[in-house]
Amino acid sequence: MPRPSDTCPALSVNNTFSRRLEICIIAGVLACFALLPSLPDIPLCPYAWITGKPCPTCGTTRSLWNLAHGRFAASLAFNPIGYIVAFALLRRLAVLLLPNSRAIRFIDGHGVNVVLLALYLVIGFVHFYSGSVCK
Amino acid sequence: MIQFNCPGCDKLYQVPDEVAGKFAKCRECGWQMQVPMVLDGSLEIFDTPQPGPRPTAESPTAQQPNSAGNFPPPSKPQKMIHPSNPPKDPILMALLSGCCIAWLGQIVLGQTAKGLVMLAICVTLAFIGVGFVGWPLSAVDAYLTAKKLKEGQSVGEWEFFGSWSPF
Repeated sequence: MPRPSDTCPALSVNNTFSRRLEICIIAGVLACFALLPSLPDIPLCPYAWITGKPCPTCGTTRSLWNLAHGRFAASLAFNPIGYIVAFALLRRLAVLLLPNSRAIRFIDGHGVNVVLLALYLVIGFVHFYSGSVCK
Repeated sequence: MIQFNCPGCDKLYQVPDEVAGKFAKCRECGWQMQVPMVLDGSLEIFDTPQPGPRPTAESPTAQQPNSAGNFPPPSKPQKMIHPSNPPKDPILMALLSGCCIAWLGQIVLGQTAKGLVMLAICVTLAFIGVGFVGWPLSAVDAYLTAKKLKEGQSVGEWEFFGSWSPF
């Protein structure tokens, strides 16, 4: 009898390489934010460049960098979405490293995701209509 | 009986044929997966197309031959995106789609053509001052598409919000 992984595409992917690659990428991104003494001169985002107005996520890179250096108030001032991104990255890292943990499965559940998505949209709307960070 | 391994922890399961195609949750690691389908014994499987009877005129899917007497080729099926292992995180895909490069999450999920076309539309809308409308749509679409893939279901390359496709 053929193994189901021979016939079902959903089960045929070797997960070891992609899992390790994703762990390396996320850990690398987090390490960059934590270890860089100052942010490099990143060009303005395409939306702000075209329209001259900040997009809903403008300031997230600076927010993450400030968060990684313990400047929580500055991070919030740039864009609170930085907190959501940091939480999502750390959670993903935990899911990939400890897939069988019950606590991590709970924070990776649908309910938490809906709350995060709603927060992301609300903060984005507020930031878009009140933000002036993109300079 | 159908025999298959959990994609999350590789635990071996044996289930009756009746549950083929249904969804199951692994008791060990909690991974949600689709029980693989088994081939019906009445099907004949070929590596290449075989000559044979065409659909009858009464059949709702019957195709009419052209003037040369040839049947038109079947319409090209939409490319399907299958779940990856490990599945992509829906929230990370929504965040990617909502960043300045809109619809990036869809491209990462495998909906490359859809992502690029929608990105071009968003850039055009940004030039006329209404580019913001694409932001919440792309984030919600990426979330629902990634959620469907995480649940073990396949999505079409042009499927929006995990359920609607224009083609």
